[in-house]
Amino acid sequence: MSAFADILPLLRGALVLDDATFESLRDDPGGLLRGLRFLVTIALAVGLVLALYGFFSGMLSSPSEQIGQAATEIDQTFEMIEGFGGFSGDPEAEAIMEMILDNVKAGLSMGAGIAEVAEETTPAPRVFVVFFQSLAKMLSLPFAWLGLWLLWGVLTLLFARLYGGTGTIQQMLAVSALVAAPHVLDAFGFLPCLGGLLGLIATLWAIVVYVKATAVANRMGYGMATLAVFTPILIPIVLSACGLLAILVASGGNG
Amino acid sequence: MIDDSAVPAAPEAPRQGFLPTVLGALTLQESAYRAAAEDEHPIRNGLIFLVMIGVVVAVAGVIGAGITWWISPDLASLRDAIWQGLQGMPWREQFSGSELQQMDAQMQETFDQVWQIVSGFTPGIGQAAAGVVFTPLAFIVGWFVYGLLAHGFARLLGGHASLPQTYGALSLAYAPNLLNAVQVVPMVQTAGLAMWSTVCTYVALKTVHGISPGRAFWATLLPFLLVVFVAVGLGLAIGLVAAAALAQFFGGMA
Repeated sequence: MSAFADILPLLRGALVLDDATFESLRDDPGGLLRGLRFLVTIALAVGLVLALYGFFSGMLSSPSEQIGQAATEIDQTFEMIEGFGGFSGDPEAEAIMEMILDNVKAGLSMGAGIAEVAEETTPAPRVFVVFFQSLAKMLSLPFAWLGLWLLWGVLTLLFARLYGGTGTIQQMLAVSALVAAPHVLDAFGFLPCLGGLLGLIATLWAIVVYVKATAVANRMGYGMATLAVFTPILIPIVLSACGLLAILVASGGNG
Repeated sequence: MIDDSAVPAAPEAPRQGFLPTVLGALTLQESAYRAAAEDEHPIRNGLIFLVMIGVVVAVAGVIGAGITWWISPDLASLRDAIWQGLQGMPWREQFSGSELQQMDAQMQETFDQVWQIVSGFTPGIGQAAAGVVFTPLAFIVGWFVYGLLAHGFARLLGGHASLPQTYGALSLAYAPNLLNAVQVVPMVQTAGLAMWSTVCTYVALKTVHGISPGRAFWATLLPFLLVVFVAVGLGLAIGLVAAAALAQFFGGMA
């Protein structure tokens, strides 16, 4: 069986919260390798889609063209404000707005000039510059996911063990790698409006997957698993709230 | 003196080749860490492992620096373009002749300083080539210093491995650094690897010393805390000495 043959079954099982899928990773001595392979594969797939989008949109318009477009949009916005009455009747406010607009336009013009110099003095043709930028974005995504997966895995396991869980670090990381499954939707992040909504759905779904993974890895109930998952966020929030309260009380006492 | 009885004999094969060892370390397989600890020459083979990782990463860095140079604009031309752009900004008209001269002088100084910092983040091929020597060296120094501290704490917390065994197992904690070879592609961010190394360190100490997960956690963390504590203490001490010297100097002048 090919090393990557179980990616799709793991994806399906994770998305529908199939017990057997989660338990197989927990109980398999090679579970961590399978989980790691799954997480990296999904991250690379998402990164590839986003990189392709970045590459083609980067090739279709240069940075100086994008800045020119931004300058046009700012002009149109100010014309719209003036069309609605703007600051008519207040010469000082109008003068300030005109000064701000002049400086913003000058800044954009400076940006366009810098972009042109950058293009002219870069040895490589533009296609290679955009290619490597897109490739870097694609390859950076697995590392970002790995870092978060490891950090949250360690923190969650710490609290899960405190709350009576019995999972090992290998089991916790193996099963929690399934959190990558809903993030397949991140590949559509470039879509206007819909991209943000899909990202939100992915995040909420991933939280559910993570809670289940914690429960299965540590052989604990969903309530305690939820507490273990959220304790690392709750502690800094509670500490910050206490600190703020202490400052308010102290400043109220001095006032 | 090597304590052969400290780590229980593993049923698995002894230390494997480079890539299988790296994979075993990355996937936190205790057998890999045990094999490294039980090796006939754990320190020598640990050193070789670190040097191999360091050289691979450094060579990838040299290639990456070359590609970075190829796809990057000329920094001097960029600097001039930015400075000329700043000189042409409309807000400068708000200032009079002498005010403008003073402001220009301060702006030039700040601009030069900021540019020096920015340039430092784009190392040239020469700097990257020097990494072929300095990267493995940095790994080795870190391994020795951290290994000594971690071994000390692990023994205090009930561990029973010898120092060579600790070093042998801890060498595998550098396996995630091999993935920095991906920086052959410029601008790739690999920040998550530090956390991976820390988790590998935890597994190494837990396996080789035979201590509980909680104690292994503290044995992993305490060396970092100690270094931070010493650094902060040194900083404070130097600050106090400098403040006292300044006070004496100005007090003598008064």
